[in-house]
Amino acid sequence: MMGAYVFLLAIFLGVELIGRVPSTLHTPLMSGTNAIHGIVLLGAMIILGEADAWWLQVLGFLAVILGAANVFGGFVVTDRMLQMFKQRRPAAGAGAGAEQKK
Amino acid sequence: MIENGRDAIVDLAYFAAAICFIIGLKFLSTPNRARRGNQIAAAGMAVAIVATFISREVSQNYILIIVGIIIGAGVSSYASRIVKMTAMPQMVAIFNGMGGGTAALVSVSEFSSKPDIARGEATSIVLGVLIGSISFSGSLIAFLKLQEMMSGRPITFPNQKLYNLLIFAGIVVLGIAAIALGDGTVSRTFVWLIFFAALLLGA
Repeated sequence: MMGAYVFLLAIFLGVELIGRVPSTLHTPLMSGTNAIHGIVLLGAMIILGEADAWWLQVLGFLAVILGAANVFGGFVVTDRMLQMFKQRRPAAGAGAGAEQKK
Repeated sequence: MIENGRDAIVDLAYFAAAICFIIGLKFLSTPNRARRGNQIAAAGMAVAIVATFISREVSQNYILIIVGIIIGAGVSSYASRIVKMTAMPQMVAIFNGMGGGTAALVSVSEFSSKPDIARGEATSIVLGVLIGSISFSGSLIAFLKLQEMMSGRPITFPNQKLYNLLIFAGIVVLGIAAIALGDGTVSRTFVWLIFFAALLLGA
């Protein structure tokens, strides 16, 4: 039952936090929350950390790799998107153009 | 006493991580502090990862865990750094899919290794397998299309909707059966079947 309360409060919290976001931040926000959803990595670590049988170790190992990719890749990608926000919008456009030439 | 201390530290760490996520998310919605918000959330995640590593549940395969994290983190960070900015959408897609894959694998492993699974738990496990697998294969296709390795045209074949419906119906039936039967090899096989069927459905 405790879980149900946490779930309920989390839903309201999420809606409140994300409710009024300028549209320029929509994509970085989506990317950031995607990185946070990599929290499943913790579950994978526990599975692997309790795995006795070889096939459980294989599954757990795969799960840890995928989870770590979600977390670390997610935060790096979000940071890259947010680097464009340092200057005003025009500079952000130039930044994207410069990146494309690479 | 020592065991209680470790559990307490882990719980406190998770608590701190949750605070970091909430504040980080708040800052992520504010243009001036968005980048800081991302960093705060990342710090919270780091704390949570370390806490899990030293937790009581994680009792073996420490090296495998570290190696797995290094591989996943290393490859994804490297890829994230070198791709063009225009490739960002597909990067987000594929990382999200990987998270879904993690969830599905965790659910399947859990179901296949624990005795005495309660109905509620069994339901979330089955749902986890379903949603995670669909997310994984679907995101993979999205990535390939955004990366233009696959044509943007939807792939259709005769009676596609019928097949999708049949697969989904099959998954539902297997799911209900697996939950009803509790644990045991029969329902475990069902859950595995759901895993692969959902992968198919996602694609």
